[in-house]
Amino acid sequence: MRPVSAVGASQIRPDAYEKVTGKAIYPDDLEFPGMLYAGVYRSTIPYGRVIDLNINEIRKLPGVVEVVDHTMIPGAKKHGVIFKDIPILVDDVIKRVGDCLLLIICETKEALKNALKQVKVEYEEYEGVFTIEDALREGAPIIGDASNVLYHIKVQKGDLEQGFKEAKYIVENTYFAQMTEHVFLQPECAIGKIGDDGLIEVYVATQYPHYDREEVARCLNLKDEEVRIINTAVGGAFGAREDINPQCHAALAAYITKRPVKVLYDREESIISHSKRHPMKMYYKTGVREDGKLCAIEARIYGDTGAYASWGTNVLRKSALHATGPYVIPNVFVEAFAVHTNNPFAGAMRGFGAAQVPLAIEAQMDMLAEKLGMHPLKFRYLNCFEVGSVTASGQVLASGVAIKECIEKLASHDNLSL
Amino acid sequence: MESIIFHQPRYLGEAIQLLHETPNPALLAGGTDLIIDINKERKKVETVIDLSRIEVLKTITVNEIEIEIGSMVTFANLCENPIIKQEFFGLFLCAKHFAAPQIRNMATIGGNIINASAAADSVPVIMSLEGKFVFNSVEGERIICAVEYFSNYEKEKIKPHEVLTKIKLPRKGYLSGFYKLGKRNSLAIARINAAVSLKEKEGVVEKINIALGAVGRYPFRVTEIEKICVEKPLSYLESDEVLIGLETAVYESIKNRPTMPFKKEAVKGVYILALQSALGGELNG
Amino acid sequence: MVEVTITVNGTSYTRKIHPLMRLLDFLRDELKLKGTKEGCGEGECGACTVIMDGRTINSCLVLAASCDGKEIITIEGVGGAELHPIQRAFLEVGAVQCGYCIPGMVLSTKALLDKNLDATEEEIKEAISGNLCRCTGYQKIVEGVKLAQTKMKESRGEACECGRS
Ligand SMILES: Cc1cc2nc3c(=O)[nH]c(=O)nc-3n(C[C@H](O)[C@H](O)[C@H](O)COP(=O)(O)OP(=O)(O)OC[C@H]3O[C@@H](n4cnc5c(N)ncnc54)[C@H](O)[C@@H]3O)c2cc1C
Repeated sequence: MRPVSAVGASQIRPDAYEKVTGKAIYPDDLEFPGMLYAGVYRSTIPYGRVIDLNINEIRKLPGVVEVVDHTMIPGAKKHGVIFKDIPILVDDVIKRVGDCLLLIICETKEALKNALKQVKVEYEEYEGVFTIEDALREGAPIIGDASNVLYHIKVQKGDLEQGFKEAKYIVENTYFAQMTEHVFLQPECAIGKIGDDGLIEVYVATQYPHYDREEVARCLNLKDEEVRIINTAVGGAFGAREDINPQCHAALAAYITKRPVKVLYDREESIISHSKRHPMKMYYKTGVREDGKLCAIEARIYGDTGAYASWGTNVLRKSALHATGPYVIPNVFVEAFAVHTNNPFAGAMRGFGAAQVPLAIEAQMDMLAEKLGMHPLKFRYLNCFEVGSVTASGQVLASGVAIKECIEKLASHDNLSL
Repeated sequence: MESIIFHQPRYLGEAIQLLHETPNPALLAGGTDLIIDINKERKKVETVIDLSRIEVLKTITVNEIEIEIGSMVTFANLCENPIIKQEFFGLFLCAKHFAAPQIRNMATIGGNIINASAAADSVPVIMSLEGKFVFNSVEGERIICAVEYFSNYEKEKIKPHEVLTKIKLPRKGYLSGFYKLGKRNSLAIARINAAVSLKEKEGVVEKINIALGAVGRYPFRVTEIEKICVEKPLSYLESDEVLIGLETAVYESIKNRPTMPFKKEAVKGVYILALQSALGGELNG
Repeated sequence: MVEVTITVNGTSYTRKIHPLMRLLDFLRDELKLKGTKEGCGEGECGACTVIMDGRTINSCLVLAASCDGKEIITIEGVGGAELHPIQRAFLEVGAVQCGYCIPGMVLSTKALLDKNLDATEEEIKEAISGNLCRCTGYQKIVEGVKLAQTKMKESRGEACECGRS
């Protein structure tokens, strides 16, 4: 066997050469002969229905090749990483600002810009829900499938009541983490095209070419093998390129026109269209014994998952599993909910649910340490995981738990004895 | 695309003539406001008159009593000019902290003034330095002081056939400073900015001009507060009377805005940092 | 339509263009120089940075018509058969992640180091402050600029030595 020389040594990324010379190809850097430009008209209301659309007028505008509505989709009209709930083009209810209503295909970028400006929609607007509280209220409009609670998980361990009885100090707080946008630097772009061998090809910067293939095939009512996804250089993603965005539109436009078609977003459309990091509301009650050992934690975490499911289930599961932080707490009751609203849909972003809960748990730790009159590092040292610890969800940590060493290093910088 | 007429005059006279003859002309300086407005279709243009070839508008000239800054002088040019740094330290600081290099290399002081944003960084500085604007048109020259221009904006604002040619700053030997509070260090539009210019003698204030930006439709001077500072020791400039005066001025100006509670507090810190940059300015400069 | 003559990376190009065409579109669409990127279209992100007459600008905010007679350097004009020391340094320290900010970063760095090879860390940060990196790679990018300084000084030293012998 060849020795693996890469392990333990710094390697130059194979794609870096192309990138420092400006030769790396992102989707918008590609052009094909006879290429058309397509774009979607997006809803400007968060909740409601289309009554009328001037589709026939748009068809007659100069440079317009085709205007596509949901009736012209040959296959599935919705996509989604877990639940198929995001409309490629809306066929019933609009659930957020930015839902796709019409796909317009034009000869030039200018004609497309003009055509998009000329779209006139008559809406029937419904009263939407925009906060977690409103969404959970009795009688609230149902944005999700059957309920506004997309997902609910409980993590339980020990005896909570008994745990709090042992507590010398208890702190109780509610924390909020805001919605966050990825703003990867390269706005979405995809080119749909019929390949030399007749396959539908989509050039796109994506996190999941294999998922994209499935979704494009479903949308066009083709077999997976009839679709080819070509991943270009990806100009940042951070989770926001996990859901389908321009892929199906580009493929659909190419399928209908039999010509290469480019779909390119500007920054504004990029921000309107893709997922967000979940805004969260986190109620925490944490107790500590007189000897400084944590004894009980109760937490309820609500994530605003917006109009569509995306990864909401998995994100809130992860929040629940990380809710107790890297600490040994014998008595636990954690609940997490993913809640639908008419806000932008939330999904994957750097940390995937594990980014919000530390705000709450670590603030609780600081407050408890203060009550005990103990240095916050020392307090964490006393309570943190080590090899052999059992997490709130029952996982035995068999190896690789380095938090104690980390704290020791930090403490040595401060000449703090632990 | 519609047809657009594009002029690139080489001489000021040519530009003034074009302005006179053209209905609805758009003057293009560095383009950092205008091009965005055009691209976002906030502004429709038919004729563009690009001022970037007119050399006289790009000069900074000094005589005994004043400095004349051409309207097409960029913020990068201002940073690099030794007299600006020595004698108009507030303007130097404003230019230094303006946006980021790419924008400073294009954005002009004239464009900043005429764009007339509430948060335009150069305007409070020019006000505090008792600056004047010079406009030219076929009718001749119009000179107006910056404070008057913005306090009476609807009447005094630039006319369609005028071009801003110069900004004049008197060489009064003021110690001047500037501070901008933004959401981050670079590329931040001011949440609040403040400029202070003053003269002191043996620790006593002889004259002080304080201008605030982004706390009203246009920047303004707080003359009432300025008056009470005269003949007081320098330490008085950081006293509660002055700070409460500023708080009140901001409260009065933006009473009904949601940002009022924040800005009426923040203005005190912003002013103090501007003041300190003015007082330390002599050393640094 | 207006006629412009713009020198890009040493070659002069004359084209008839729409007066409102942005320099960015001139480079990408007319000249097919795709290394200059568009990230925001409003001067915030710096992905479209190019050097005009020695100074960095955002090519999304400048009309091509205004650039008549100007000299532009894009990423395609940096380095040649061999990488420029800045490119080499970015590669070696791992300053490159998604790569979309890199052409702009390289040009901002070049504009700085061409004027001031001894730039301090503060000056380096200031010089790239108009270029956003969303992969949060600033630390490595700053390290890259520092390594580029060393490399450029070395090659300058070598050039001197050659001259002497
Ligand atoms: C990313 C970014 C960051 C920014 N940061 C800052 C900041 O930190 N502080 C700040 O104050 N501003 C900031 N701005 C706003 C802008 O850069 C400034 O207002 C700039 O000074 C405008 O000058 P310009 O030369 O680009 O003007 P242009 O865009 O060319 O013109 C602006 C307006 O003024 C008119 N005009 C220009 N020159 C003249 C003249 N001589 N006579 C008559 N009319 C004229 C134009 O017709 C136009 O209406 C920023 C903008 C961007 C895009």
